[in-house]
Amino acid sequence: MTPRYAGLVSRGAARVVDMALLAVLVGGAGWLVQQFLGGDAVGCAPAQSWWQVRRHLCQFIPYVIPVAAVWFPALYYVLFWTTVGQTPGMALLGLRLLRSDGGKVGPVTALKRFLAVTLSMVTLGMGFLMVLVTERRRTLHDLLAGTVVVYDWGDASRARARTGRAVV
Amino acid sequence: MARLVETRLAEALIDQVLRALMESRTLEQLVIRLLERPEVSGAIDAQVDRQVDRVLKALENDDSLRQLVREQADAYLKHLTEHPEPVRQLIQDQSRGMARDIQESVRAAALDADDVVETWVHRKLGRS
Repeated sequence: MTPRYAGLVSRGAARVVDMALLAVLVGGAGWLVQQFLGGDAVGCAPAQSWWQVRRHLCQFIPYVIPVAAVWFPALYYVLFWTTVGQTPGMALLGLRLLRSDGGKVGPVTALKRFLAVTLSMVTLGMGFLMVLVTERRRTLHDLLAGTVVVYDWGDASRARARTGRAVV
Repeated sequence: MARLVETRLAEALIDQVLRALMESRTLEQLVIRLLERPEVSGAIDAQVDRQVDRVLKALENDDSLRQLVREQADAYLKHLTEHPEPVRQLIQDQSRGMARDIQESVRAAALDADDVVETWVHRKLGRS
C-alpha cells in the first residue's frame, strides 16, 4: 500500500501538542524537585552540617533544571519514536515516523533527527517549511535523518474512503 | 339460508376488495400524496396533539398511576444503586465514542488543511 505523507498543518499541530505536553512535564518535574529539595524563588537555605543532604542537593537546582529542560525533550522524542513510532502529539493527529525505506526508526536515527530539528529551527523555520516543496513532504530534519512522516489512522479503509487516496 | 350465503359472500367480497386496496401501489401513492398536503398533515398533527393532551390530562389526575410510577422509579433507582456497572460502562463507552469522534474530526480537518496549504503554496510558486 502506498503511504500518504503528512503535511505541514498535521505535523505542526502534533508538534504543538508535544511541546505543550513537554512544558507541563518539565514544569511539573521542576516544581516537584524544588518542593522536595526545599528551594524557592529566593534560594536554598544554607546547610548547617553535612547530614542536611536536601539542603546540599538544593544548591544544584539552578544547574539541574536547565540541563533537564534539554535532556528531557531529547529523551521524550527519542523514546517515543523508537518504541511506538509516534509521540503522543503524533498519535493524536494520526501520524507515524518511519525510515525513508519504510522501516522502523532506531535510536541512532531518532537521535540524529532530534538534533537535526535544531537546524530546522535555526534556519528561522525554513527547515520545517521545506515540507511544502519537497518530494514525500520531508522537512530538513527528515532529509538529514533519512525519515518520513506518514498518516496512520489505524482504520485505513475509512481514511482511504474519505480522502480517496491510500493511507498507511 | 339465502341470507347467510349472501352475508358470507358480502364479507368475502369486502375482504378481497380491502386486500386489493392494501396491495395497490396506486392507492399507496395516493395516500402518500394526500398526507403530504399541508392542510391534511396539519389536521392530523392537530388531532394527534389533542389526543395526547387528553391522555396526559387523564393520567395526571390518576392517583394509582402516580403511585405506580413512584414505586417503579424507586425500584429502578434501587437497582441502579446496587448495580452501577452497566451505567458506568455506558457512560464510559459514550465518552470514549465522543473522544474518538473529536479525534477523527481533528485529523480530518488537519489533513484537509495540509492539502489546502500545499496547493496554495504550489500555486504561488507556479508549480503544478
